[in-house]
Amino acid sequence: MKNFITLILVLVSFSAMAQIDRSKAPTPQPNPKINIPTPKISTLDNGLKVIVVENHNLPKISYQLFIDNPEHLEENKVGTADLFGELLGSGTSDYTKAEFDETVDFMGASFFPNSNGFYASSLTKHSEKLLNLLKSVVTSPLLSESEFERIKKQTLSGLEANKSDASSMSSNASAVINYGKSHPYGEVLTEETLNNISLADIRAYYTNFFRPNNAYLVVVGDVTEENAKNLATKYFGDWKALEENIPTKEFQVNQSKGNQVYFVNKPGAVQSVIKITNTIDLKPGSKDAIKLSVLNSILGGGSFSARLMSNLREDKAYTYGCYSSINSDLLVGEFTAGGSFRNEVTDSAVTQILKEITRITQEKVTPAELDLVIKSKTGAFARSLESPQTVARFALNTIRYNLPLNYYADYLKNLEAVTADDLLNVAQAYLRPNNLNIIVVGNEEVAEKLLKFDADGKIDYKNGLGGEAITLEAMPEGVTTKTILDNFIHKTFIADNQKAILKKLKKNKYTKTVYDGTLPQMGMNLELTNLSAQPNKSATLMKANGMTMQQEFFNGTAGKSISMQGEVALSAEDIKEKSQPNYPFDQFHYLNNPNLAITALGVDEVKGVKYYKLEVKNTISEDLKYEWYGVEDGLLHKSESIITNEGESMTITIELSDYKMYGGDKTGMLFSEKQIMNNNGMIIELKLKSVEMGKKVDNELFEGGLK
Amino acid sequence: MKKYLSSLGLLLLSGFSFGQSTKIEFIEYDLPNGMHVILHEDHSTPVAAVTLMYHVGSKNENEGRTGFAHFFEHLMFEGTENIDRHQYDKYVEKAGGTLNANTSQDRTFYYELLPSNQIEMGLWLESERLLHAKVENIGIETQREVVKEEKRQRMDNQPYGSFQENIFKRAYINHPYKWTVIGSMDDLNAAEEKDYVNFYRTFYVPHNVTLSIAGDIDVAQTKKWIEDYFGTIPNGDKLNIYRDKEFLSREKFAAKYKTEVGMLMDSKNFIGDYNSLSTEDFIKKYFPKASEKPHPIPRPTIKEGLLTKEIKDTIYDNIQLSGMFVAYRTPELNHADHYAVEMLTKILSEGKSSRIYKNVVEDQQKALQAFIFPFPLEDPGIVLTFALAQKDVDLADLQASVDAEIKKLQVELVSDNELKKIQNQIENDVISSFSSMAGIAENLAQYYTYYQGQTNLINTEIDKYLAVTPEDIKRVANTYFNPSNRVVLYYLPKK
Repeated sequence: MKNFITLILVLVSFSAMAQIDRSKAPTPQPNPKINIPTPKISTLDNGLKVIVVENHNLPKISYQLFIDNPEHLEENKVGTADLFGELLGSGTSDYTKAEFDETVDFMGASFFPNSNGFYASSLTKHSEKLLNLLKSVVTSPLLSESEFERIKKQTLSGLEANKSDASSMSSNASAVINYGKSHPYGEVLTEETLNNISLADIRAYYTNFFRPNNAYLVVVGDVTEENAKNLATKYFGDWKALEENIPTKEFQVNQSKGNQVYFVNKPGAVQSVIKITNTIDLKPGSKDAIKLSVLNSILGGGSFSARLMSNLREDKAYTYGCYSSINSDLLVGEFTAGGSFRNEVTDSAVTQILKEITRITQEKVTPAELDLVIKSKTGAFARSLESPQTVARFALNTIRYNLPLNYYADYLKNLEAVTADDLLNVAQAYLRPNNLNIIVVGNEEVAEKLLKFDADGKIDYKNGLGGEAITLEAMPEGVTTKTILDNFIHKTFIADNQKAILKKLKKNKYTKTVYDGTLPQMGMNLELTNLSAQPNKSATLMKANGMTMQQEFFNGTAGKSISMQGEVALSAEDIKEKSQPNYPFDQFHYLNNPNLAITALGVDEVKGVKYYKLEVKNTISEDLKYEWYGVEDGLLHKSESIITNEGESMTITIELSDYKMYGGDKTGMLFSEKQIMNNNGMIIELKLKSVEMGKKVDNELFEGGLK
Repeated sequence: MKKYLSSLGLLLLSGFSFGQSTKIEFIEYDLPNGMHVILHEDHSTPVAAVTLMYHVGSKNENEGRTGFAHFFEHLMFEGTENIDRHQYDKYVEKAGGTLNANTSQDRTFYYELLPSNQIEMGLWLESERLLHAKVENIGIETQREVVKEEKRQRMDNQPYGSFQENIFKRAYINHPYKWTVIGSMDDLNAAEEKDYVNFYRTFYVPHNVTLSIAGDIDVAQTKKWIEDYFGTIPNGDKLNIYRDKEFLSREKFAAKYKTEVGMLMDSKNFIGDYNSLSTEDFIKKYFPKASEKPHPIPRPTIKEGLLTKEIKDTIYDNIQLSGMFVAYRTPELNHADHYAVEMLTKILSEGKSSRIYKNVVEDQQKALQAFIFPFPLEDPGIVLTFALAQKDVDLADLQASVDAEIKKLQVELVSDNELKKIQNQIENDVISSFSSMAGIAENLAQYYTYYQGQTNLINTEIDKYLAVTPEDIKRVANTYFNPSNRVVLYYLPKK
């Protein structure tokens, strides 16, 4: 048969050659007729409204339960509704959790609970068995202590995971910033609020909010309308209504004055997630909703030709995708624009997005843009009808939002009628291009460049939960880089003046330290020997499990490094850096080193202890180092080095503690006996084994002699 | 015995009812130039999916040019000889449609979802892309940056986002699956003009693509359009000449085809014809004997067997929770064991009653999430396990729990009841995959492309799943799910 068809086609192809004109786009066939079936809606005695959409294409039926309660605040128990939603799938009085899951899976069915109900579906042949489960879920969920604890623990771990997820950080921050903490949409789940929730709260939520008289059951698929209604009555007819109403509350949102920049630091980020947003007063079904949806499609809808996409991706290649959205909502709507952009173009991206938002409020869109979007939305509407769930959603929206019964039937007609003037009017009425929240989650190196967008000239730093990021306190009056370093040097030499230090250094011309180390992750023992001498000579030796792994020598002018891979002479750059005087420790020479730029950043508080934080930047290698000096004891307690090599950056932190004096009265100095080094995740614990100081040392040791 | 009978009875029954209610009817044929066509007619909604599956993906790339197939896919939206830059997508949107594409290790898939009165538009656009897509320098440079942003967004800035790169480069030694579809930044930077020309000529040819259309179509009319737009596309040497004629200057063209055209090259007529004749007529006149024989398409011939020694590594990433990725090497899609392997993963991981979810996630509470799924590929692929440890749970401890579940499948047979559960899930999955025209069109093309022309697997593949026995599952558990055949990666938080 196949061959026969091919044969015919070969014949046809000779005659049909070159009849089309490829240089022009074909013209469409007449528009197909679009049918929007009208679903039937009925109400059970207990108030449950049943919406049925018949569709027999596939032998499947889905049931969606949606309880449409007014929004409320969860206050110090944010997460109660979410936990309830999770628990709703965790067993009922008729089925243990294991039996419930097994029954759902055995049918190949799906069941997704949420705080306002569930979505469930199965093949037609399993439908009644599924309904039996659903009835049990609605009328007698178990809400057990053990499941509660398990889900709580999972949620805590999930919160932890989100701390490094840029999009979670961005949506938490924008929720708090746009709506404020006294608005239901501005409440953010944290460890603290989670720990405030008890099982009693979950049970109270079920009792107070889970009721049929505010609920819709949406049945879609391979079922007749009559049958669906009978099934709903059979399985959900006994569900008891609750008479007293849940009060509807009013919530206020703050409108920002002038553009405000918010920054959330995500260490190591290679892209910035930008969200430019504010709230708008737009209710579902409002007369402007269709116009605003057209406006949004032109500004930043899903297509490649939308302005944001065409400018920031197709023209400037700043991003993989840049979009905007305008959402309506019964409480308050929201406008957003943004995407993910590489670090270097973060501020340019903000500039362009703001420019596009402003432009659309000042100039009329072109007839070509309007025509394209109306045609595209007409097609999208028609295509969306492929899914019977769309028809169900239309029905649900119509009744929930009290839309005119012909709202969707007239949708295409109303879409067609939108003009460029309409769009300019709604853009001016709803978008506020000079009162936007500019929220950026990214690498802190990009933050500074965003300052120019802030109307008050001040960036607000937020953490990934939308709270205030902890920033450094200002340095107290009189404390400078010099006083911090001098104090550290004096404390280390146990001396109160420069003269005493110099005197000690006359007797102390070399130092040899040996540290024992362990790598707990690898079960390995290390021994680190370090010999240094005035003014800049050094020799280091690292042994692992008794074997010499690495050696490095510098005699003051040249040197080499020897590893398992062989011997390499030090590079010119290394020599230049090592040639700087560094005896007996780097900080002793910091202020005289022309290659360093040192800044006193402020007072940092870590676990209740205060430290002065210094930034030490090497202007030649561009390596960056932070150092923490105790406010109380003046000693160095932590350093963090960020070393950049070929675009990859590596972080090494060293925590120093247990300072003790070594050497006699004439040479005595403090040494840290315990150091914990974290080399990009590899942890090495070092313990000081011995210290030797003296006047004369064999120069040969710096040429390769140290063993 | 009674139990055995009843479960067998159920099995037969479900197989029967399945076949009855949801068979996907289709017709398929080849055009003379070698292009394969599949049509599925369904008038439930006035929409249609016009899709093209090119049998080229990242496994057809050369080392040093990783990521090229996907980069090339981006460039295929730039325009054609008849479609100006940035207009391709506008035609579709104006038609009320939507379009996009994606690239995998094995194929590149383009689609237009359209109202059914606009099918001809989809065919025109796609035929333009196949015949003479046009890529200019500005497009290359822009899309190069866009793709790099895509990599940053999807991989580099995502927690655990480097797992694909890290898994595949260890799971394969020589096979091109060892690099990712997105490729490396260096290779993306290195791509140059001749790479585009070669890639287009080698892989974007009629006999390497399947046109699959599903939806509200008039079959006779659609066939006629396909003939008009695609049947007229030459193949072989003739297609190369066609594209050269359109993209090269006359001088370059003349230099390239000196031997074929010979003396005629310098004549006044030739110069005039080069500028004024249509490409078809030009070829007819100067290359009357140009061969249309399809050129062979190079495909990787490396067949890598299973791993022989466990590979373990640790990656430090910007993450908060430790995670574990384990990949077992498994057979290719079109291999008898594939079905048993896939069912094994469902036993472990499909639904809340599945073994790993129930035991490791819920009962032992060692993982926040844990799943195992096949990553089936045209050449031997992998099964991937991912488990995200609960706060304060040691990865070695978590791994031991996951391993124990696999061990159990190696020593104990799956019960009839559990097998039946998996069969029911598969039946549900298959039927659900028929819920959109786009899904049906892609499935049809995929069966044809990966299974050497067995398009009807869309209707019969379920039988292969239903034929898998508990013994098969135990056997594949022992064949493929051994420590010596896996890569184990621990992801640990950086700082």
